[in-house]
Amino acid sequence: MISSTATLRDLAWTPSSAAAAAELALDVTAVQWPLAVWIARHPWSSLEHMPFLEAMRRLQALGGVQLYPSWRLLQDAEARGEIDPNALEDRMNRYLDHHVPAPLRTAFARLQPRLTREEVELPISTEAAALAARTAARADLPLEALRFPLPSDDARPRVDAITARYLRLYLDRGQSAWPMPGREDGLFTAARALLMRDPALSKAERRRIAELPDDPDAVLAFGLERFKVHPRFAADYFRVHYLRMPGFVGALRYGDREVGGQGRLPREYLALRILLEWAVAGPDGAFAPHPDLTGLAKAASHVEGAEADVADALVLAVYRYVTADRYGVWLEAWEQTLDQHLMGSSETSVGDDAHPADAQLLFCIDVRSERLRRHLEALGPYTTYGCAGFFNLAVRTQPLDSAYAHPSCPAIVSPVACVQERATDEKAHRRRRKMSNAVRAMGLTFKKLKQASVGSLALPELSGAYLALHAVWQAFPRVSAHVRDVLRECLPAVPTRWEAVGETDGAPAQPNCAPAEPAHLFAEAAAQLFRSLGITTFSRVVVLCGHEAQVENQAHRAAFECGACGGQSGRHNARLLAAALNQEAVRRLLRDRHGLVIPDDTVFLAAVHITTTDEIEWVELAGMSPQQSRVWQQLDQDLRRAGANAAAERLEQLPGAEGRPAQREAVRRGHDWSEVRPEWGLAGNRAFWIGRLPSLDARLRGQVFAHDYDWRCDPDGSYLHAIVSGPVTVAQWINLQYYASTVAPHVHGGGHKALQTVTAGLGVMHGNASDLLPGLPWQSIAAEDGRLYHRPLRLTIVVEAPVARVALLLREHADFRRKVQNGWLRLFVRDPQSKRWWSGAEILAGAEA
Amino acid sequence: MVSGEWVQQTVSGAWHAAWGVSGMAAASCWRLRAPETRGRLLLAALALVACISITGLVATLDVPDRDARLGWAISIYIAALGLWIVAFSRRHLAGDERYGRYLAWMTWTLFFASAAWRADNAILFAACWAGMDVGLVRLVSLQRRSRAVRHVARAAWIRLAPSMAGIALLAGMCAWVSGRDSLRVGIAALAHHPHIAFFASLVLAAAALAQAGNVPFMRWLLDSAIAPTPVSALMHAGLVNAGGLLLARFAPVLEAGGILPRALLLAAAWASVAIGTGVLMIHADYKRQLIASTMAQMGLMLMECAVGAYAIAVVHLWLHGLFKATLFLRSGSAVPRPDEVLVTQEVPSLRVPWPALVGAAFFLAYALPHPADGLRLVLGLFLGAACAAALASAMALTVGRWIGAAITVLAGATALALRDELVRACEVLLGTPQPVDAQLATAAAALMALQAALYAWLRRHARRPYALRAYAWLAHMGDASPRAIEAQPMALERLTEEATL
Repeated sequence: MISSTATLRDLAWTPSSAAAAAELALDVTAVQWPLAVWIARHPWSSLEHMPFLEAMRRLQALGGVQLYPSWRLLQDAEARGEIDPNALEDRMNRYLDHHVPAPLRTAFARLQPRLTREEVELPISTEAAALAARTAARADLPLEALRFPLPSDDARPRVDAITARYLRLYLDRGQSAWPMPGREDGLFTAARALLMRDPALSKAERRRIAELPDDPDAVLAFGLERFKVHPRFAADYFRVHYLRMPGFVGALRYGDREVGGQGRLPREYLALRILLEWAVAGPDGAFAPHPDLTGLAKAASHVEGAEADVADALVLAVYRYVTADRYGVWLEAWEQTLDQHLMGSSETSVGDDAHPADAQLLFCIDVRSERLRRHLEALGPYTTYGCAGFFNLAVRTQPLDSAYAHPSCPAIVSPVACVQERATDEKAHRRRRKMSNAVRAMGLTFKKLKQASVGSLALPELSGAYLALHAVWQAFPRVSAHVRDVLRECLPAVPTRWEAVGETDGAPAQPNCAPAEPAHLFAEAAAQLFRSLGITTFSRVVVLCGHEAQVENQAHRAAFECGACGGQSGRHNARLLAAALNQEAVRRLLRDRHGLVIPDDTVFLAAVHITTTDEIEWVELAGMSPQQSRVWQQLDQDLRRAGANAAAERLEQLPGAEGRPAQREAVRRGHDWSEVRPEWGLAGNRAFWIGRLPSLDARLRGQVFAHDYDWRCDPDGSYLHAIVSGPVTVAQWINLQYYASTVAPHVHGGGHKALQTVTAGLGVMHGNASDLLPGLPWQSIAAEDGRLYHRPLRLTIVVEAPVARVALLLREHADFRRKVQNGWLRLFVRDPQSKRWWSGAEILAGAEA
Repeated sequence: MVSGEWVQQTVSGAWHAAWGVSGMAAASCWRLRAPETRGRLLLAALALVACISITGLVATLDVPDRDARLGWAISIYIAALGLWIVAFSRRHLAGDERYGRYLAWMTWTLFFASAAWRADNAILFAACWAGMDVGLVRLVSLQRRSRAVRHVARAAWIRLAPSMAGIALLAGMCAWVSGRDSLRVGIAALAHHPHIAFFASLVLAAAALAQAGNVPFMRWLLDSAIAPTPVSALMHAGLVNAGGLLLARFAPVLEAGGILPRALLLAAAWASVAIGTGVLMIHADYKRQLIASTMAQMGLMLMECAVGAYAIAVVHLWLHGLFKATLFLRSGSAVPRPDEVLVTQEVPSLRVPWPALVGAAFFLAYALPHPADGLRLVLGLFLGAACAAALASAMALTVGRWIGAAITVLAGATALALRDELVRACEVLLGTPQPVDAQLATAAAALMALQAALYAWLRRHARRPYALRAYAWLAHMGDASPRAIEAQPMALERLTEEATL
């Protein structure tokens, strides 16, 4: 029996040892970005050092949430033919070989088919119960067979409600008029001062709070001691607390990161939880993980007539299989079956140098770009490439009139410079600001009055009529879209210029801003970009195309925008790089330093792909010669047609959009404030193709991240290394975020869009109050309440390169190798020379041989 | 006169027919899951109801029947609101398992909310009021998979009972005192019996307070954030303000009941204003702020009714309905821009607090000429605060501050002028305006000033123990009860367990 008594008496917890245990426990949490700059990240990025199956088992035991697709979904997939019985057999055998210890294999192999295919429970006999009890008495019972009830679980709703209240009051920045008193002293101190006076706690509970020390780390030690937590389970105790509110903890970690607090905020969260637990449970409470006897007994009922010495181990193996691993086996079989679609994709005809393309276009790797690329390439002599949407420019961008310099790059990259948009004509700028401020003053007054103690009472009468007009206007989305465009053109256009900002400017320096020589920065970024894509020759017109979304009244708006640009539009990066590449200085640097020759009659343009309507908006049109202009006009026409085709194809999958004229419906969805599914965003993503965009199987359309890569231009494999470190990681984050939101929407999702409430300006809660839900809302992954749209499958990477190169990559890139080995990603390689497919497992096995 | 009667009866019949068509169209939507043509039919029927109501109002303008005019005006408002919100819900709730039920219950609830004011029969009135409350709770309880929703629905039945029971009791009293079932006659009869009118006024006050989610019946309103956005919009714009209309209709009874019931109503309404404003200033989540704002606004409306300014109260509840519904429906846009939430803005502090001084000057200029008019004092206080806020926001801008301030003040003045026109029109609708009770009005002004001073003082000394206690108490009061909160929305877990591709 797991004992937490005896040897503990002489062990005392100190604040620093408790803090160290809390640091360990952070591995079940992940940072959560504020809603305004929301980017997808998966909740388990610190757990990739262990195999996927093991990580899921552990999280299931600690958090009580099943993290696999449901049984019903799996059966439905099988009925539709998406899970091949042979694949299932194959996966069952592999599980047997890799995860079941050798002495148990024969016995387990007898049980495995029935356990996998049926969800039946056998009645528990007395022998089974006795066997279970004996197994539970093992000293080395693994974590996944334990249950971790907290001392305060009897009053769990109350504790969770009070925690949520104080956390959102603390995290608030400017949404409320009366900020939390004492917030500067820290979360724990401020919350404690208020809890001493909170009517939510009884007098006895408030007296118990007074017994706690003042320092949060000391409170951690206090909790560990008074709740008699065994040292083995100290970190698990904290993990369970973290898993109760993963969203808020993520937001606290973000806040901590911003101020450089080194983990203090999450520890204050734990201290607050211990405070509430102590108040509610008192000295009688104890944290005592106990074996899951019911589950073990159910597992034991399957094990009959086994030899005594292996019976225990067999029960554990069966328990592990039945509670978690068999769903993993089904998932793997599903993925394996659907990977066949990828293998069936043929090559597109590679454009040969004798007939160079009229124009080259660089799109983001986003799955929504794949449709437009395919339709465009079918319409004319164009070559499209996919690359990360920030075009290798890791900069902070600060648009005109904005006080915020946004890191317009993936979260794993830190920006190396700041670029600010400045007006070249100060008078025009001032005029424009006057006009826009005149209107903005009304909005600011509205916000101020809304929170005033007396003025708020006059607000409905002062603004009711205007808001009603606004509502009438919003009720006609297409009309309001037109009028908005017209009004925007009424504002005086201000010519602007982007400048790199450094400390010498007198403007307040933003963090991470080095006053780098901008031409070098752009040349470096462009060289890396073109080399990794394998672009050696340039056509007359080269377009850099970022992407953004046009959606109305969506809280998770940033989820539709470019994730590679930090959850905002990709237009600034496209414009910056295009403008730079048109400059003589940068081209000279490229030629002299990086060996890339750009012909004189090549012009770089910048555009942005509006993914909701599949339209292209031109952002930077440099001065063009007549030939270039001709090419551009034809390209513009072809892009419109391609966009219309792509929109028609895409709208077939949006519920309620079939049978309507595609362009009108797409524009309506983008501007309708009541529309709950304006576009699918990245839902459905499941593969990442590194190589030339293939002609995909029809079932894969709009589901593939496509990054161009030419292995012939990459002699030492460094570009492949960079692609795998950057874009593949971002895509994996997105994929697992969608996976988590689909299999566990109540913990890792984003709630129901009609029941959400934006909280503290940072995240959403569901209903009256809840955790600060970290993921994607239900409507983003489900077509309707009984039907999912996104298949919860993990990412498959396909690399088109000689297998020796990929083997080298796996040897050198430890992180990637770990992900492939532990089952977080699947890897396939198509050797372009031998046209043969290799799987990641084969390559790894070959490497070890 | 005969032809006038005939016109009114025709229009009335057409109105009933149009609502009948709407009700049946709503029923036919019961099993829908996504927007279809049947939904469009429902919208067309609601538009028809709105048009017929406008005709009805025009037809009764010169008829000395105050209740009929009020009934038509409210019918226009409710039909327009219903059209707007059902059109929004058609798309917003698409895919929900109870989509069709939402559309149906919204339509039926709106019918009851509107029919209550067109009914002259006391029993019909009580039935329609009960139907409205039943519809409200039903709409909240439709998300049945969630345990918290089931708890809130059960609690709402209990907490709305004073409202439903009170109206039933009132209808009974009207019928008993006058011996006839006409509400108009019953009200006139009640007004002649001061002792019964006293009791009836207390019941009226309780019913209005419960329906508006005010002290001491506020728990159901504060827990109601669990309803979907369009349902909340409907509730806050169309259903909680029935209390004000009730008091407007039963005004003679309130007059005859003496000063005590109205003073109690004033006190309870003011308490709601104070608590609602406090919760609004403390809480950080959008829907909770809107709910607290509704509580405060309904309190203000009931204060205006208690004082006797019924036209002002009715116009207030209409404008508030439009205001609140729009704010609820655009709750997806409540995410602040990055430069508002991620950058700490330096607010330039002014040496001389110009905005506050100008606001105070405005208040003095507006209110001093008529110091005895309590309502004018209250309005002056509000407008002074609004002026101060407008100036303070304009001062925060670097460019275009004077134009901005001018435009804001102009917009405010236009809105006020519109509101004054509406109040005049409403006074015509409601018949001869009764004089406002001067004592109560002055008391109201004093209470509002007290509230302003109290909050200013508490926020200035925010770290003192009594301010901490007030903060903790308001935060607790404004938050939903623990059983109405689910830290993880388990309904979604059940949905994903049952979902297929």
